[in-house]
Amino acid sequence: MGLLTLREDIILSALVLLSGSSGGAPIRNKIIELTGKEIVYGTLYNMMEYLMRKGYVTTHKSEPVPVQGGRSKTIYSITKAGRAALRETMALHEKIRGRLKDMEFEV
Amino acid sequence: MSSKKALHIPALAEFILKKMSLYYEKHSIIEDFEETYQEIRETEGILKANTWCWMSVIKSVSGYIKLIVLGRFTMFNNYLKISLRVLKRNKSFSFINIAGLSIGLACTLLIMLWVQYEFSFDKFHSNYDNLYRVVTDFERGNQNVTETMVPVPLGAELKKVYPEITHAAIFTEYSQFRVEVDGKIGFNQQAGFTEPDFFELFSFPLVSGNPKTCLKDKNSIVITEETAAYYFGDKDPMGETVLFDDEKFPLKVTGVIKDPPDNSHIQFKMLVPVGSGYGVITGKDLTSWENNVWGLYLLARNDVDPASFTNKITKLYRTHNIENTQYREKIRSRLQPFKNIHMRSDVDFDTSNHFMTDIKYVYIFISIAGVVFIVACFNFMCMATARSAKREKEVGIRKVSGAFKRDLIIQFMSESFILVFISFGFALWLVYLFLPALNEISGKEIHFALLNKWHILISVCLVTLITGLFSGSYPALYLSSLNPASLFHRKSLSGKKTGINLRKLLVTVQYLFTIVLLFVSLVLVKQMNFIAAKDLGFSYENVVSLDLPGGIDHFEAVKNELLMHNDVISVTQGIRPSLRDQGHSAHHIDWEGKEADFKLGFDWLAVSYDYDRTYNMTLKEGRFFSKEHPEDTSNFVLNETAVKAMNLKDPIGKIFRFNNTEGKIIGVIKDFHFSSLRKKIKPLFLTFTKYFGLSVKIRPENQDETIKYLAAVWKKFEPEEPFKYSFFDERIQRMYSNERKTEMLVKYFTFLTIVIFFMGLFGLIGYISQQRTKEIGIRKVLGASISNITTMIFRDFIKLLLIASVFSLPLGYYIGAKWLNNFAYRIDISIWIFIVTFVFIFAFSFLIVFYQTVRVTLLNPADTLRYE
Repeated sequence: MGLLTLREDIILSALVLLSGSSGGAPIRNKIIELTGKEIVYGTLYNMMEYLMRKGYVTTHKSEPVPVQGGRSKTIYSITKAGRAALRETMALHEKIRGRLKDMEFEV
Repeated sequence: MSSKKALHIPALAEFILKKMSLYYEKHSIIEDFEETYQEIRETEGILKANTWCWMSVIKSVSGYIKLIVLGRFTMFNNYLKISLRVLKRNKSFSFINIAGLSIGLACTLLIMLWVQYEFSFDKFHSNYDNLYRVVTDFERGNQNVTETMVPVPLGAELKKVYPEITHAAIFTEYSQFRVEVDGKIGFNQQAGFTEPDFFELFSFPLVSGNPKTCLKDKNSIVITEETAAYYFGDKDPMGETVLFDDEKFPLKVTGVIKDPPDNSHIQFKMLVPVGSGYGVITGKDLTSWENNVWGLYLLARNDVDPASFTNKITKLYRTHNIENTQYREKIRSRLQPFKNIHMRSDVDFDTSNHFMTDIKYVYIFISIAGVVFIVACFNFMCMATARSAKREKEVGIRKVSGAFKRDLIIQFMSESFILVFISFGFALWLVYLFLPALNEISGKEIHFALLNKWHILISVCLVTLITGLFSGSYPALYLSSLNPASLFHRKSLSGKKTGINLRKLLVTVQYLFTIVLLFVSLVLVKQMNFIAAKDLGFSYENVVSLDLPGGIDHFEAVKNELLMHNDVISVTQGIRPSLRDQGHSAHHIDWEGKEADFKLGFDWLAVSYDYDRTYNMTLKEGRFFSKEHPEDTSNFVLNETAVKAMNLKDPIGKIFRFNNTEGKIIGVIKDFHFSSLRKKIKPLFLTFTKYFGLSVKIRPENQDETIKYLAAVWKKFEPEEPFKYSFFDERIQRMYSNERKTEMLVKYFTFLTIVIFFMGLFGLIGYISQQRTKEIGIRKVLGASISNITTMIFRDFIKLLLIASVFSLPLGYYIGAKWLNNFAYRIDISIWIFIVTFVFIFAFSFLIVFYQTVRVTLLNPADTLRYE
């Protein structure tokens, strides 16, 4: 099982924070909230595409939005493998951070 | 919630997003976009929302383009590989394809370079559009003559009287000066006489010296860098003294100027103020209004109306007293735009010696370039359609494996572009190789570096692009539209009729152009041969001209000394019979029994004893000027046309008057062509003179020796003058130089077009006969002979050839006749030219068909019909 890149890490974290599954727009908002930086939808979709290929994320279509002409949306959910990968990456981060603390390198 | 509908993102943004999105269906892009859009709109207003929306779209576009390019590049690699393989597989066809296109492109590029060079003439002047030259129309005899010559004061006067003329400067070049610096002497130096405004008018940059003052002083001289290097080497020439002309006027160098570029009609090696050394040229007062031998250039404001100046200048002439009233009444000056000087000049006597080009010839060459280009492109297309028949299966497989129509179009287009680029490389190489040859023929100095100019580069790229698009379009569009199912199941023995109709059209058009070109070049060649072989009524072989402005002091002594040499046959003096087309027209002519309403213009030549012998002219009646009759110095000899025009029954002994000379008609000379064959022979009379240059007829043997002897005699009598000679035939050659160059170039380009076309035909027929191998096999088995089969294939082509001939032969005739109209003495376009053209094309086509068919026919049917 590979480690996550920082971007993947952030997206998966955002999904977990949104209780595991969400549409594209809330995920984007969450990411902006977390990082304080703008992210373009194109980037988001490309990352999602990548994560889906790795099996960390799955999608399904929601029920159509209950307005006239409302369309269904794509909902992204984090998979078990996704959670496992996130955990593993976090554990690694902790470990590294512990070592850094020993060197009195802190935020 | 009901307001939600109104909160959609802009329609255009939605459209772009949909178009660009690779996984539009998978992710709900539009919905997500709209959600965010609404959020921003509710919190921060519509402006912010729109800004955000567009920014995101723009950011996504760049990513999208990167993706596409990357994808295409990968595919392009594949196309490149495939097309190189296809090229390798059919070596001979690839060769024909590339060679044909390279030659065609090279021809087009060469002509483009040449045309570009012609159009670039004089354009480097920053005042190009506002410059004018004053030209003068005279009525002489019965014809109008246009000259560039005006009197010196006119420029200053124009500037004074008309505010729209801001600057004026004389510029006239003469090239007969002896220039000496510190004992280093150069003869025949080319000097431009001008005025201080020169630098205001023209953009010739000074290397050193002040443009405002360097020509102010009468005893100053500005030399070009080349001249400076010749006389001074590495020394700084500023302030040095130059001894100018035979009189050795001391002139001080006040400036060094860059050499004028090749494409300037104003050429000089040094600039001299009009006031200095003028005596050598005119011997007249520079303030005189009658001393009109100067070329005048003007710089005008934008609001000038050149047409109105005809009257204005005439008025100036009237107010300034010109004594010769008759002259004053007949002269009309006007402004000629500077941009017309090189190619659209209507001036007969030009003070500049530069080689003018007739715009007509430029257009002729542009059309030839077009024809060669089209033939080469059509050739390429033909080959491509023929070859595409073999690649239908490949197209089928590609389609079955999921290629879209668009992919196939891109594939075939890029293939054609690869070929075009390869050919283009070769074409550039060919241009590089043949540019010197073109310069040789055309007498121009076109540099390969001209290709460096950005607009040339752009047009070259455009030509390449058009060629690629043009030649790749058919196979790309046709093949990509085929249905894969039909591609696999069809089993026809003779191959399919892929693009037959289009191919027929292309071949017909190629035939058409080739025939027209061949026909016209035959007409040209015949006419030029006719001119070369035409009996001019006099002979000019082995006649040496010795030039001398003014006259020679001891003509009789020189003549006797020259005649002492064994190889000198005869010596005479006078105006040579190689007049430009504007002759020395004469008026004030009168004779015994002149009808009152006689209006014909006369030409005249001033000659001396033995003129007839030197030029081998025949007398019809009477005698020529003779030493035994001292009164002959005021007598006249007429030509036959003159006698006929004057309606004289018995001309000998009649009184004839010219200006103030009255004398008798002593002889009638047989008509000879004293002007070019473009003009009809005009009435002519010969008078006696003691001036003008020498003509010496020598024997063809030991010419070098004889000329050395001439030089020695010359040195003895005229030690101050440099010995200059030229053979008279060279002058005659020069008279037709435009036509000769056209003939040469048309000949070569026609030859190349024919080569390209027949090469293409060779390839095409090769393909067709190969496709029909099985059919031919079966026909052979059933008893067809080689001639039957050849006829069968040739029949298709003969039809196209006939159709093309029906259109092209009359077209060729029209163009040829139009060109011949330039000549008063010309060939008739005989039926033979038609026949030769047709038979030549016919025979070659037949040979090609025959060769290709026989190759296939000789194969054993048992082999060709074997079915795996």
